[in-house]
Amino acid sequence: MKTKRLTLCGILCAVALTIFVLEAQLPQLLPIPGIKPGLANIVTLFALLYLTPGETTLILVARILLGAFFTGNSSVLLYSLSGGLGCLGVESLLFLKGNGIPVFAISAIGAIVHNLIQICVAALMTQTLAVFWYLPFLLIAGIVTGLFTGFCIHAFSKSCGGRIKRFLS
Amino acid sequence: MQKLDKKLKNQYDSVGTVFFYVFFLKNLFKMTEEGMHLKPRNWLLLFAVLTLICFGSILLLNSRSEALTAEIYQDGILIQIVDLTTLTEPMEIRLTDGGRENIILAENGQISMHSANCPDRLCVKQGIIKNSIYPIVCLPHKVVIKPVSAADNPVDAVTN
Repeated sequence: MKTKRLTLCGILCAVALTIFVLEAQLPQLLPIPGIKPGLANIVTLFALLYLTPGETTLILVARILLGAFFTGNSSVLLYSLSGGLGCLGVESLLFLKGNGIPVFAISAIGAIVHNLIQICVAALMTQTLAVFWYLPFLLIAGIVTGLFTGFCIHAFSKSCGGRIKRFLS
Repeated sequence: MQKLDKKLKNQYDSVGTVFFYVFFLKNLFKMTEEGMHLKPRNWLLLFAVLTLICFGSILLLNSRSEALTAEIYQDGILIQIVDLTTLTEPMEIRLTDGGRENIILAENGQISMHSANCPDRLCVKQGIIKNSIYPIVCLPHKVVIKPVSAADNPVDAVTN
């Protein structure tokens, strides 16, 4: 790994962690576990667009582990780790294989997958199927937040995507 | 045919895009050498439809009959079944297990999580179950309060 890329990974991890910790301070809009803006996903998408999936995974895992450490909420670690990795897997598959799917769609699908995995993990942890009643709420939340983060990264890559690519080459 | 499609498309573009897509489904997909994939605008449409379906199901699920009993689960094990119809005075159910504490308040026809010492306290904010099907879930403590209405339990409906 070149020093340039390593530095960028570190910076991205720090940015993602900052967003993640700040977001944890926000009050919940709906009293349903698992619904949050997911703004740190902007950084994950950025890494997916300009770095390799491997580097993105490193950034994601580091962010989730350090985030759980900084917010002191270790009970959500399993949810965010499984959801985050599943979401990244689907996103990188769509990014690499799905020719020319727009970024916002990739982001929204990723967010939906993230929420689906989380609700499945919640059902496994509590051993009750009743949590699936919250599925429509989580799907809507996934679409809205996923589209938002997707449009953020879309606008960003339009304005300074070329500069990033030149920096990395 | 191609010409007609184009003409129709121009005509419908501003007003009835949705109807246009319903009747001309083949225009949803753009054919390329690699196969079919959706145009950006149609992705948005797809997500909009999915959101509408979800909203519809939420509205449908909201109109349900009153909860008669509540089942309380901890770690997936049924701890207690509370008959909400026969309660005359508020009943407090205390769930304690190695530092985890959830206090459930059951009253006539309703049940709620009164207090808990979990980190996010989302279970307390989920409020009172009165006539909904949505369970109260405390994820950090793995506690679920599940309302059971007459529709779920035909035997109860007959005996009541």
